[in-house]
Amino acid sequence: MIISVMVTGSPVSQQAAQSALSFCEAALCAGHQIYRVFFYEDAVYVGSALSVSPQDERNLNAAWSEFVQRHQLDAVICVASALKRGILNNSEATRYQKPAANLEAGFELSGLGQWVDACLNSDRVVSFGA
Amino acid sequence: MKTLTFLARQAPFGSSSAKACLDMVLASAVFEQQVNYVFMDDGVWQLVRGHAPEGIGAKNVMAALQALELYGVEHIYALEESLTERQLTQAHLQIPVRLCSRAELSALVQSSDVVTAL
Amino acid sequence: MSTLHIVSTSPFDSNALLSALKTASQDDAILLIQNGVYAAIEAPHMSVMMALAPSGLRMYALAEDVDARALHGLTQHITKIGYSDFVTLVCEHHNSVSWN
Repeated sequence: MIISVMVTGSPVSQQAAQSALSFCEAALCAGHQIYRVFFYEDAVYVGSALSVSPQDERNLNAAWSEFVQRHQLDAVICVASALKRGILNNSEATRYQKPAANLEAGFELSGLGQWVDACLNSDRVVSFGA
Repeated sequence: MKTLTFLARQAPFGSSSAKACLDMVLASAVFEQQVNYVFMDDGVWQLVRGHAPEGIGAKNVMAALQALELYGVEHIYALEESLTERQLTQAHLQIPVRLCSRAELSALVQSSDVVTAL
Repeated sequence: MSTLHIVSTSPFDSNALLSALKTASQDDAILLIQNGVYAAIEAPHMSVMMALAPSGLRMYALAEDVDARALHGLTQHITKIGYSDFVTLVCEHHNSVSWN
């Protein structure tokens, strides 16, 4: 089946992004196709390349980045949520005259339309919140 | 065309959920899908008229509810049980909504392609 | 046509499970994940809440989340499942609602 996943919970303070990653791994393992993963609200922190975890803790951002690149998944970070939270790619950093861009490899910034498009093109849609 | 149903379940202020849900509803309407916007649980507080959030440094995001019709969002519901629990009636609300029973909500969820609760 | 209701918050902390149980239809299923799994304990308070569920509603709890929280002696009408079964449940139901 074609599945899309939305994540809304913070990868730092909530479990949503971890649950979503385990779900996506299991879905691919079962032979399903992931059309898109959409990160909304606090879940956009998954796209920060600047997060640092203590050595004995898993870095969820790095795990997501590695996962989406390995499987060449379409991983979209909601641009409106991201700008508010300081997650910027090069063109947004330039546009808003910010000192740096920090979008992690494997992710792309785009609008909510990408989420609606995912709903229209997927057999199943699953959300992971708080 | 798909049926996309949104369940707004959180209070209007104190978190960004209400605005997040509204933005999704508007985005779905732009794609000309069948959109159901359901206010339930503490989400019914979003509908109350007279919000004055300036003192808490917030924008009156729910003012945008008035524009839903312009966007073609016509199926707006409030769960009657949630209104009653909170001593609210249609008279307290800033826009006309269709009251729905729990059974009608269940049917709405069943008949949707995608349901998003925020 | 049936719905998978995914509940991720503790019933001691939020009304997510209550809303899900009241909204669920007979052929639906409930899956408890994250702190939602605390609803799987054997307790009088939970039995009262579960009585609101339509008869025949199937109930599951995600094993990884149950084990992480040291929950033993789950109430018997809740089945422990892993992530691969989670994916299967998503496919078996035509839509899902995530109650947070």
